[in-house]
Amino acid sequence: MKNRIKVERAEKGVTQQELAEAVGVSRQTIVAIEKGYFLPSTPLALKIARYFSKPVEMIFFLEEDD
Amino acid sequence: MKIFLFPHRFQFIGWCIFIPAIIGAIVSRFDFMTIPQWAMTALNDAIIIGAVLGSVFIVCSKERDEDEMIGALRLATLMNMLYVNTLLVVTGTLLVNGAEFVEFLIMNLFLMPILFVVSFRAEIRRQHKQAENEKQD
Repeated sequence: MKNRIKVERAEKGVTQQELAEAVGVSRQTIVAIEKGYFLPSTPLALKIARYFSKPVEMIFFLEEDD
Repeated sequence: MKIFLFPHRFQFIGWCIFIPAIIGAIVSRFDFMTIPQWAMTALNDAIIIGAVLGSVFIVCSKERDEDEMIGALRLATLMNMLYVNTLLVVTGTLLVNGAEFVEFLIMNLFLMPILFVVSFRAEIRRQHKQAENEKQD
Protein backbone atom coordinates (compact mmCIF):
# COMPACT_ATOMS: atom_id res chain seq x y z
CA MET A 1 0.00 0.00 0.00
CA LYS A 2 1.38 3.39 -0.97
CA ASN A 3 0.55 6.71 0.61
CA ARG A 4 0.99 10.43 -0.05
CA ILE A 5 1.40 11.58 3.56
CA LYS A 6 4.68 13.35 2.78
CA VAL A 7 3.03 15.36 -0.03
CA GLU A 8 0.01 16.17 2.14
CA ARG A 9 2.30 17.33 4.94
CA ALA A 10 4.24 19.55 2.57
CA GLU A 11 1.03 21.08 1.22
CA LYS A 12 -0.29 21.71 4.72
CA GLY A 13 3.13 22.76 6.05
CA VAL A 14 3.24 20.38 9.01
CA THR A 15 6.22 18.44 10.34
CA GLN A 16 6.32 14.69 11.04
CA GLN A 17 6.39 15.52 14.75
CA GLU A 18 3.26 17.68 14.53
CA LEU A 19 1.39 15.01 12.57
CA ALA A 20 2.57 12.32 15.02
CA GLU A 21 1.28 14.32 18.01
CA ALA A 22 -2.03 15.06 16.28
CA VAL A 23 -2.77 11.39 15.59
CA GLY A 24 -1.25 10.05 18.82
CA VAL A 25 1.78 8.07 17.62
CA SER A 26 5.55 8.56 17.69
CA ARG A 27 7.51 10.34 14.96
CA GLN A 28 9.25 7.01 14.24
CA THR A 29 5.88 5.55 13.29
CA ILE A 30 5.13 8.41 10.87
CA VAL A 31 8.59 7.96 9.29
CA ALA A 32 7.99 4.21 8.91
CA ILE A 33 4.52 4.77 7.37
CA GLU A 34 5.82 7.39 4.92
CA LYS A 35 8.62 5.04 3.82
CA GLY A 36 6.17 2.15 3.48
CA TYR A 37 7.89 0.03 6.14
CA PHE A 38 4.82 -0.06 8.36
CA LEU A 39 1.16 -0.36 7.40
CA PRO A 40 -1.07 1.64 9.76
CA SER A 41 -4.21 0.15 11.27
CA THR A 42 -7.59 1.29 9.91
CA PRO A 43 -8.23 3.65 12.88
CA LEU A 44 -4.80 5.28 12.43
CA ALA A 45 -5.27 5.62 8.65
CA LEU A 46 -8.66 7.26 9.30
CA LYS A 47 -7.15 9.62 11.88
CA ILE A 48 -4.43 10.65 9.41
CA ALA A 49 -7.02 11.21 6.66
CA ARG A 50 -9.21 13.23 9.03
CA TYR A 51 -6.20 15.35 10.01
CA PHE A 52 -5.73 16.30 6.34
CA SER A 53 -9.54 16.68 5.92
CA LYS A 54 -9.54 14.18 3.04
CA PRO A 55 -11.10 10.76 2.44
CA VAL A 56 -8.76 7.91 3.40
CA GLU A 57 -8.48 6.70 -0.21
CA MET A 58 -7.03 10.08 -1.18
CA ILE A 59 -4.12 9.44 1.20
CA PHE A 60 -3.60 5.67 0.94
CA PHE A 61 -3.64 3.62 -2.29
CA LEU A 62 -3.55 -0.08 -3.01
CA GLU A 63 -0.73 -1.33 -5.23
CA GLU A 64 -0.94 -3.96 -7.97
CA ASP A 65 0.22 -6.78 -5.69
CA ASP A 66 -2.02 -5.84 -2.70
CA MET B 1 -7.96 -8.24 20.57
CA LYS B 2 -6.60 -6.47 23.65
CA ILE B 3 -3.02 -7.37 24.59
CA PHE B 4 -1.96 -6.94 28.20
CA LEU B 5 1.28 -4.99 28.77
CA PHE B 6 2.99 -4.14 32.05
CA PRO B 7 3.42 -0.46 33.00
CA HIS B 8 6.66 1.15 31.75
CA ARG B 9 8.40 0.96 35.18
CA PHE B 10 8.41 -2.85 34.91
CA GLN B 11 11.06 -2.50 32.20
CA PHE B 12 13.56 -1.22 34.77
CA ILE B 13 12.49 -3.94 37.24
CA GLY B 14 12.97 -6.46 34.43
CA TRP B 15 16.57 -5.37 33.77
CA CYS B 16 17.28 -5.50 37.54
CA ILE B 17 16.15 -9.15 37.62
CA PHE B 18 17.39 -10.26 34.18
CA ILE B 19 21.04 -9.10 34.32
CA PRO B 20 21.88 -10.68 37.74
CA ALA B 21 20.12 -13.88 36.63
CA ILE B 22 22.21 -14.12 33.45
CA ILE B 23 25.44 -13.33 35.35
CA GLY B 24 24.39 -15.92 37.96
CA ALA B 25 23.77 -18.48 35.22
CA ILE B 26 27.26 -17.94 33.78
CA VAL B 27 29.00 -17.96 37.20
CA SER B 28 27.15 -21.08 38.38
CA ARG B 29 28.61 -23.02 35.41
CA PHE B 30 31.98 -22.98 37.16
CA ASP B 31 32.23 -25.38 40.09
CA PHE B 32 34.29 -23.17 42.38
CA MET B 33 31.52 -22.66 44.89
CA THR B 34 30.96 -25.19 47.64
CA ILE B 35 27.46 -24.51 48.88
CA PRO B 36 24.88 -26.96 50.28
CA GLN B 37 22.60 -28.76 47.86
CA TRP B 38 19.45 -26.97 49.06
CA ALA B 39 21.14 -23.58 48.46
CA MET B 40 22.27 -24.69 45.00
CA THR B 41 18.69 -25.74 44.17
CA ALA B 42 17.32 -22.42 45.41
CA LEU B 43 19.99 -20.53 43.43
CA ASN B 44 19.18 -22.45 40.23
CA ASP B 45 15.47 -21.77 40.71
CA ALA B 46 16.14 -18.05 41.27
CA ILE B 47 18.37 -17.88 38.16
CA ILE B 48 15.83 -19.55 35.87
CA ILE B 49 12.84 -17.60 37.21
CA GLY B 50 14.88 -14.36 37.08
CA ALA B 51 15.92 -14.84 33.45
CA VAL B 52 12.45 -15.79 32.23
CA LEU B 53 10.46 -13.28 34.29
CA GLY B 54 13.01 -10.49 33.70
CA SER B 55 12.90 -10.94 29.93
CA VAL B 56 9.09 -10.87 29.95
CA PHE B 57 9.10 -7.65 32.00
CA ILE B 58 11.63 -6.04 29.63
CA VAL B 59 9.84 -6.94 26.41
CA CYS B 60 6.22 -6.86 27.60
CA SER B 61 6.33 -3.49 29.38
CA LYS B 62 4.97 -0.42 27.65
CA GLU B 63 7.61 1.70 25.93
CA ARG B 64 7.70 5.40 26.79
CA ASP B 65 6.34 6.09 23.30
CA GLU B 66 4.18 2.98 23.01
CA ASP B 67 2.03 2.92 19.88
CA GLU B 68 0.75 0.42 17.34
CA MET B 69 4.09 0.10 15.50
CA ILE B 70 5.92 -0.88 18.71
CA GLY B 71 3.14 -3.42 19.36
CA ALA B 72 3.59 -4.83 15.84
CA LEU B 73 7.39 -5.05 16.34
CA ARG B 74 6.89 -6.89 19.64
CA LEU B 75 4.61 -9.47 18.04
CA ALA B 76 6.94 -9.88 15.03
CA THR B 77 9.88 -10.49 17.40
CA LEU B 78 7.86 -13.08 19.33
CA MET B 79 6.95 -14.83 16.06
CA ASN B 80 10.59 -14.87 14.87
CA MET B 81 11.70 -16.26 18.23
CA LEU B 82 9.13 -19.05 17.92
CA TYR B 83 10.72 -20.02 14.58
CA VAL B 84 14.25 -19.82 16.02
CA ASN B 85 13.20 -21.89 19.05
CA THR B 86 11.55 -24.53 16.85
CA LEU B 87 14.66 -24.78 14.68
CA LEU B 88 16.91 -25.08 17.76
CA VAL B 89 14.76 -27.74 19.43
CA VAL B 90 14.52 -29.82 16.23
CA THR B 91 18.30 -29.52 15.60
CA GLY B 92 19.12 -30.24 19.25
CA THR B 93 16.80 -33.26 19.38
CA LEU B 94 18.47 -34.74 16.31
CA LEU B 95 22.06 -33.99 17.25
CA VAL B 96 22.22 -34.11 21.06
CA ASN B 97 21.47 -37.23 23.10
CA GLY B 98 21.57 -38.55 26.66
CA ALA B 99 22.59 -36.35 29.58
CA GLU B 100 23.84 -33.68 27.17
CA PHE B 101 20.29 -33.25 25.92
CA VAL B 102 19.15 -32.13 29.39
CA GLU B 103 22.06 -29.67 29.36
CA PHE B 104 20.92 -28.45 25.94
CA LEU B 105 17.35 -27.93 27.19
CA ILE B 106 18.63 -25.88 30.15
CA MET B 107 20.74 -23.76 27.77
CA ASN B 108 17.67 -23.31 25.57
CA LEU B 109 15.76 -22.03 28.60
CA PHE B 110 18.21 -19.09 28.80
CA LEU B 111 18.88 -18.62 25.12
CA MET B 112 15.27 -17.83 24.25
CA PRO B 113 14.80 -14.98 26.77
CA ILE B 114 18.20 -13.52 25.78
CA LEU B 115 17.41 -13.67 22.06
CA PHE B 116 13.94 -12.23 22.67
CA VAL B 117 15.30 -9.24 24.62
CA VAL B 118 18.27 -8.60 22.28
CA SER B 119 16.21 -8.92 19.12
CA PHE B 120 13.37 -6.63 20.32
CA ARG B 121 15.71 -3.94 21.72
CA ALA B 122 17.79 -4.02 18.49
CA GLU B 123 14.64 -3.52 16.40
CA ILE B 124 13.48 -0.58 18.57
CA ARG B 125 16.96 0.94 18.27
CA ARG B 126 16.90 0.49 14.48
CA GLN B 127 13.56 2.31 14.28
CA HIS B 128 14.89 5.21 16.37
CA LYS B 129 18.02 5.45 14.24
CA GLN B 130 15.97 5.40 11.05
CA ALA B 131 13.84 8.30 12.33
CA GLU B 132 16.97 10.19 13.39
CA ASN B 133 18.54 9.77 9.95
CA GLU B 134 15.34 10.96 8.29
CA LYS B 135 15.58 14.70 8.04
CA GLN B 136 12.92 16.32 10.24
CA ASP B 137 10.68 18.20 7.82
